[in-house]
This record gives sequence, structure tokens and C-alpha cells, in this order.
Amino acid sequence: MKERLAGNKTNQKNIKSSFISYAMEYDTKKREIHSDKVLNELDKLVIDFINIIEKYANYVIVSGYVSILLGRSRASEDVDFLIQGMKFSDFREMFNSLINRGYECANTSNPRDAYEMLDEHAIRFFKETPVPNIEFKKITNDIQEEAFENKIKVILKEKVLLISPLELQIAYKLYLMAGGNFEEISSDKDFEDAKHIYETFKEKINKDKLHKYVKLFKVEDKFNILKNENF
Amino acid sequence: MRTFKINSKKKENFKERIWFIKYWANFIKTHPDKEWSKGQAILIDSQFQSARYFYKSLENNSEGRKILKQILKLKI
Repeated sequence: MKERLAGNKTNQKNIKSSFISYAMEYDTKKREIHSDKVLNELDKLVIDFINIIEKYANYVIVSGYVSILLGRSRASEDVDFLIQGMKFSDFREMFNSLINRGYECANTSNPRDAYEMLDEHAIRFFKETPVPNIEFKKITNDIQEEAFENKIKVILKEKVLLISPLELQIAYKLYLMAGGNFEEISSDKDFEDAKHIYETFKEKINKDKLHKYVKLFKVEDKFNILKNENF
Repeated sequence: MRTFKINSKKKENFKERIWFIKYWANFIKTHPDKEWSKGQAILIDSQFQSARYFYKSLENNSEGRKILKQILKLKI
């Protein structure tokens, strides 16, 4: 991994001169985020799950865990995986591999039933306890396809993870919120997740793309609050 | 009058949370990953442990197991 200093030159003055280490860096051309983070239990669960499924399924991680992976200081009950359609034989092998590695499917223990459920709704896998769990969902619409086709890499020391593009993630999080008035915004974790990604990567994100998604989801009002410097 | 006070308190609370999100984002950008992620791991791991303890304690008796089934149904 390329050596990087934490922060920009001005910020580096605030860091003890003897402390040279890595800070998260987004290479927009390569569509890669490099991170040296210390893994938490949620990261470890996600890596363990990917190690099993990546042989069988093409995936992209979306929603809350993306913010957490990129530093947001909150926990989550689940991690959302979007999966490209797959043959039943691959799904069955993947399902059995998960079971053999200690996972349970919360919906059913029958791989055929689980596979058919994917056409209707997400299924959930967990290890030991139902929380946290992995929400496993088949790509069924254009927005999910967009997330998959434009996914970016998060390169950790231990694993490469594939996540939704940040611009789409911000706009989609604003769309997920219950409503647009102040009452609703002021207590919404989706808004805070969007704000976290925006603030952490605002110098790097593609503003045209972000505005395109904001318009697509019709979340202009919420986005104006999000980027308001007075808050 | 009372509603006004609640709204004003909510607004203040919201401002403080947003201030912290900006502060934390800046901290992430200006500090090595190993530094901020240690704090994040403490927070997330402790919530993991609490959840595990909660579910394990439910598994210990029949009433708890019924509740656990209900929770799983809700999640599905």
C-alpha cells in the first residue's frame, strides 16, 4: 500500500511530527479508497461473509455499513448486500458453505426456499446471534444496478470490499429518510450517515454526479440542509 | 409555548450532533486511520457484546426462546 501522511499540509501541523502513519485516502481515478483502519467486530463479520460468498456471487455493499466502514461512529443491526442474479446450483453451494461455516439463514433452512424468496424480498444470514445480520438482496431495479455497476473498492490490509459509489450513497440516504421537514431530519440516522460521507469526502466526490443523483431522487431540499455550513 | 421550547431544544440538539459529525469527519481526515478506528472499534464491539449477551440470555429459558422467535419473525 502506498505510504500516505494523515491529512493535508495544514492539518499535518496539528499532528505530532513524530507520528507518521496512514490516513484514509480516496483515489477517484482508480475508484479506490485505501484504509489502514483497525477492524471492529462488524468489519470482521463482513470480511468473513465475503470470504465465503465471493466465490459464488457478485456483490456490492450499500446503505448504513458503508458509512460505518468509512468511519461513522455508530453500530448497526445489519449490513446490506446487493447481489447479481445467480444460478440455483451456485446459490445452493454458497448457502451450504455459509451453513458449514456457522451461519444461519433467518428465513429458512432450505436453500431452494431461500433462493425463491430472493425474487420477492431480502433474506438474512447471521452467525451466533441474529444481531448483527447480513441482509442479502437480489438486484431488482435501476438504482441498485447503478450502485453495482459503479461500485468502488475499499482496500483494507485484510480484504478488498466493494461498496456503492459515494455520490449515490449520499443521495440515496437522503431519499430513505422519512420526510423533508426539520422535525424529521433532526432525528434521522440516514441524514447523519449522508452528512458523515459528505463531510469526510467532500473535497473528492464528483459534484456533478452528486447533483444528478440528488435530482433523480428529488431530495434537493434535504441536500441543501446537508451542505448548509451553519449547521 | 411548550411546543416552542421542545422545538428549540430539538434544534439545539440537532445542531450539536451535526457539529460532532463535522468534527469527527475532520478528525478522520487529519488523523491516522489506526487512531480513529480504535475508538470506533471500542464503540461497535461493546454494542456487539451487549447484543450477544442479550440473545444468549434469551436462549436460556423457554419464554426467552419464544421472544427470540418473535424477534426473528420481525426481522424477516
